[in-house]
Amino acid sequence: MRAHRRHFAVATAAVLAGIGCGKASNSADNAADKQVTAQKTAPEKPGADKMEPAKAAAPPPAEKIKLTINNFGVFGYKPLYEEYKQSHPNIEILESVSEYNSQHSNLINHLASGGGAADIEAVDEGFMAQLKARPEQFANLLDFGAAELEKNYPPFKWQASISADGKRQIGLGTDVGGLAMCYRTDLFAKAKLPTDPAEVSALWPTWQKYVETGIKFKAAKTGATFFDAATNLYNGQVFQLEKAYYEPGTNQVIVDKNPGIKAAWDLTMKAIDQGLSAKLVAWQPDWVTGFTKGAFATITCPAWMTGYIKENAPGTAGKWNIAAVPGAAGNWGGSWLTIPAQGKHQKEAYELVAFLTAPAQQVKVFKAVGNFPSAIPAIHDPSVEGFKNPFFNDAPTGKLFGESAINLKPQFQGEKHGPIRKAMEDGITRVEQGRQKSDAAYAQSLKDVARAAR
Amino acid sequence: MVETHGVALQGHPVPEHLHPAKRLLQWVDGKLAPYLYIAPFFVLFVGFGLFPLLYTGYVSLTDRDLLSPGAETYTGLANYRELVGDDYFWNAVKNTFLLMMMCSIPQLVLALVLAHIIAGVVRLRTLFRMAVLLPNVTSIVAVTLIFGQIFSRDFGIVNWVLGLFGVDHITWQAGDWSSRLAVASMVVWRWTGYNALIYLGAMQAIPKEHFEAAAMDGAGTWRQLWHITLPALRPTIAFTALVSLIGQMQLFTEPLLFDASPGSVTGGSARQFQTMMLFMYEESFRLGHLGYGAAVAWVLVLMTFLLATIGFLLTRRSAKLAGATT
Repeated sequence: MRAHRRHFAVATAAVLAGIGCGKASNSADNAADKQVTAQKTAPEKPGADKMEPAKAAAPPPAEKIKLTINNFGVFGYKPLYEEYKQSHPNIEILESVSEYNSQHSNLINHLASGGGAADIEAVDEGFMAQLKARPEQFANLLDFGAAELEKNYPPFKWQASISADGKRQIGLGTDVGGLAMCYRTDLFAKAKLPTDPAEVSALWPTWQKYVETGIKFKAAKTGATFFDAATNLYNGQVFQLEKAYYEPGTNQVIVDKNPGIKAAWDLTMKAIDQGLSAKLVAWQPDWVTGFTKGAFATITCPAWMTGYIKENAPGTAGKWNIAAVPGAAGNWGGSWLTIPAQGKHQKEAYELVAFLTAPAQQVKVFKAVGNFPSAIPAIHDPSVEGFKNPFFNDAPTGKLFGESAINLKPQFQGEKHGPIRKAMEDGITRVEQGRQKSDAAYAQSLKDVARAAR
Repeated sequence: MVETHGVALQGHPVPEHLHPAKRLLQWVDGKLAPYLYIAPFFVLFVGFGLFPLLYTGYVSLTDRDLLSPGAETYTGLANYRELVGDDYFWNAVKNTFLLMMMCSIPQLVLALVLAHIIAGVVRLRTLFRMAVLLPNVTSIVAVTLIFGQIFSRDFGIVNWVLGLFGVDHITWQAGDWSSRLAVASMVVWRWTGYNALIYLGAMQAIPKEHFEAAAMDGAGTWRQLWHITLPALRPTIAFTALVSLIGQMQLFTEPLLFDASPGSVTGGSARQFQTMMLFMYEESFRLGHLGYGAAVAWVLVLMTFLLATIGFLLTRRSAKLAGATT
């Protein structure tokens, strides 16, 4: 869900634990499992026809179904399970929550070994491209009638989890990380830049203007740098490209012939040359401290980042505000619920997934834990759209993040999108660290991209 | 006399007139039981050691993709041929061996010194013994997180101390040697105490008279270490060196977690501290080249085996030199 759960540690834990604690319980009621499809005809219609469970002396134990769901971070589903059980007394829900990296490496291990995955598995944007490249590993939600839900989602969210041929939808969206730009009003005032969000947004209609603003900021010598890390500037631009690393709908990598990528790279290099970057790396101790100390004036802010800033630098309340992101819109993070094909209760799992991701539930989750909804009706809900964040000088975050998510153009992401992005980011970091000059770093990154995609 | 129960029975053939059930019992007791006693190890070894090893060997001969099991084709030694020409693989091999040396040598020398000091401590000896083992039982993840803080660029304690001497802030993850030094320091911190305990145990087997005699002749404590303890510990040192070297072949968690960007398995922006294990993990689980990753794993097995053989031969030799006859 929240990419900041992308924590160092537990990738390892997962690796070392290997297969880990399998969800072997699935097979426990195996006798019942097989019949699930057969039952469909008989007493068990999907909806709420379980009115008289106590009466029919022996509704055979086969009807009791245990659904397992694995997710990470904070999905805020606990109260929703209770609600669901009210209308589905035969469903038992077992949730297991882990950390960002272990959730995904466990899922991949379970898919690779053909067993052990839960009935419902949450997948974050960072891993979606890799997983949807193997759609046969997941239930095709279109088979269960998911097509009618397409209108609920911004196009980018719906298409990010659909197979390259557009015939298999493997996940329903939970939340999004619509992008905005967080900035320090105190540092902006010091640099004699405007501090009002509307005026600040007007400073950077494009990323070029953003960098130009940075150069002005730098000239004012406030002691802070303009942004935290050059990779954020790069990714912010690449998110907005309609074509990024892959020729849409194909497995063809076009990094070396995509002018959009080169332009994003060059602008990033310009910003590094001008000394606009604090050369930090997200989630490192220095970066976290940087928030408290005001080491940088702006940061690319997905919806969940606002919570992170508040949590880690509570003393900076009132010093922040939020403007629109340069360019059109953007997204960073956000998740889906998927149903692995190895699961035995796919239909029941789908009903639960449809319930959990329905707009009404997304609004409840937003109110409870703050995950920003991905469904358009939920984004337009007054309690979401009208939300103002007191920590950020009452910035209208509901509207900002919502618009950013809805306006984002879908971008096709191929199987190796993640590793390719990492290869490009490493190149930028090499320049930032002074290990290589721009040209050499770019050339090596292209080589690494080709290697990753081989 | 090393006769086992079974062998002893052979000397006294089972009398013919015994009841068949009794004979069966005799057979179970005499012939089968010894095998049953050792079976648990072998069953577990076959299931969790040998089978995965052989299966990995098979996978390494295919172009298996991580998420498409069953769709692989047999490609013979293609993966191994590719490996030989892969710069990033050799980079990982180089890093692994460099780190092996940077981790093992300081670790063993420090352990010896530490053991010698603790051996001389009279009061609270148990407390000290427990204390040196503490780093080893600490969660490796916690250790790496703490070291991440210690080596952080702007607010880390190492850079602060260096700053007192006028040294500019170092981005520890960025440099070739600075990053390896930081990784090695974590390993050394974690394993020194463990080795010290082994040395301590071995030291206590050295007859006290030797030290008394040396003291009588006027040898100080460090001289005793050099002339009495060290020669007597030679087989133990060889053993710990071997175990430590083999352990470093599998160095994984520290470089993984030390990497600045979370979840990165490349060991730095220019692969400056990517070990073989990290390389294998990257290929198998990040890029999905399970077949290629399996080939890396097998090369790792062969290298470890080679190292162990060399180590074994050296150990035997040094054991002979030390005059140990057990």
